[in-house]
Amino acid sequence: MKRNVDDLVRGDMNKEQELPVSIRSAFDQSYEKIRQQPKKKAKKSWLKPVSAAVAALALSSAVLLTYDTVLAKLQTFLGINDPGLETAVENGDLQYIGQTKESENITITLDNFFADAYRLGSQLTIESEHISQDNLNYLNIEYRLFDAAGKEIDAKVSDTKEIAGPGIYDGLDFKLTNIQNGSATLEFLAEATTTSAPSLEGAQIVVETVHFLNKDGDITSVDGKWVFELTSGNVVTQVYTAQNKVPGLTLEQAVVTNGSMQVSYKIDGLNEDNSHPIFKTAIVNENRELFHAKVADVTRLENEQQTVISLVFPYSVWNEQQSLSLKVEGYEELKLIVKE
Amino acid sequence: MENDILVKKAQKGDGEAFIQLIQQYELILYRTAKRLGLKDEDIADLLQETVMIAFEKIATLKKGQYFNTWICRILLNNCYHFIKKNKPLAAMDETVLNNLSHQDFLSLELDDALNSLDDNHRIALTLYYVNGFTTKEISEFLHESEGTIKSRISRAKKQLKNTYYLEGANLI
Repeated sequence: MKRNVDDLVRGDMNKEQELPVSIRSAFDQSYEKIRQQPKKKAKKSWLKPVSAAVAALALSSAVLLTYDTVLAKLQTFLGINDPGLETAVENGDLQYIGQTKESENITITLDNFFADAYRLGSQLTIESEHISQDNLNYLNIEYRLFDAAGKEIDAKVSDTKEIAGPGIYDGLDFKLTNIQNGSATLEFLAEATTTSAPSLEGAQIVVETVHFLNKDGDITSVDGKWVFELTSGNVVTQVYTAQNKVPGLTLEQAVVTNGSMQVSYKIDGLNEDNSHPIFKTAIVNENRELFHAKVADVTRLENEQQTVISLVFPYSVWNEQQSLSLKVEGYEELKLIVKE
Repeated sequence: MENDILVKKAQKGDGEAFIQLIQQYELILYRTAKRLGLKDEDIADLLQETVMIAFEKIATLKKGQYFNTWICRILLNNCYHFIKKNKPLAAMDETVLNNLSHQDFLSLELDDALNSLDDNHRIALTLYYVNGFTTKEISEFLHESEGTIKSRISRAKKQLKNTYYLEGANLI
């Protein structure tokens, strides 16, 4: 019986009807590894529910800014309350970059950049014919972060694209400001709840797609390549340890850096209430001021029947407090002291 | 729909749900790597790596309907890296050749024919015939126009027709 070339190619290319033993064994070994792993973390971003309060870098749209100017803008931006970033900026941790790159008729300028061990923020000015005061509803970007060796370490890209790196940041928020005809300012802030960022000395941030959403709901996506060279600021970290024991709650890690404080703690039981950690956890300083996180990661340990909660708080190492407290609703306060 | 549920479960850390997802694609993943001209021993390592990366990164997949595309992307990426690092592929020695069955020879001929295609044509052909993607899906996957993909598939078929199917007894 005659067959056409389509059928032949399809048939030949799919001729293997069962897996060779070595391949069967490879899959089975992978499955076994997966079964042996503790319950994997269920990542959940709390950015959206609290978007009104979410921090984005509140920076001026002007190209050249003094720290005082930036700070003034920070303090007025949407009533933003991010004392961690504010203190970091006051202490000179904001880097002016001022690099401009052009691709596919879109010009992007990386104006300012902030990175500490747990947060990364950027302010970009985007110039394009797709931007108009009357018609631009929203704008965001897809980007990748590469280390000095060129290895991808983080990517915030569409689900259908390859992600080669391990990933660092799990919370991301965009803020669009200063929309003009032909240009707009985009700020973003990424937060890493479970892992610290490596040095960004010699790193590159590469924007690969810009999405423009107009007020009719139409999206124009432009792929291109806008590469920005980064330098590492002076990233400082200070570890805190638990001073007291709290029944049912154990401190895993507490690290303060330039504009952020990462805390992981474990509680008994499997926490199924996703809204719990950020709304019911706070860092308390010696003046009894409370600092709340915006993003949390929850890892449920099925075997141990425990839950690990990791958060990033807007608290700066420059506050130089010898002791802090971790306040979790329903538990006694856990006192944190500087690790010598 | 069922995949959506499995993806959601897997994202909540359900390893068994993740395994069920992968099991549906075992043969497709294997055939995909095979059609890229890789040896089974290397494919075994690449598949293990692919499964573990996918398990680690499943939380980044926002829509379950894209699982097929997503897992293939991870595999292809691993294969590309491997091929890049290990080119040229090791030639078969005499012992291996002597141990090949008749089926292996048929396979070898097909793989030779596929190897004669350039990478762009071979991958387009594989995604179309093995992974079952539409030309539109391939164009989105490879960031090329749909016209380019159609053209590559057409040319690749033509080349196979003139080489692998040269004797063409069964061709119309």
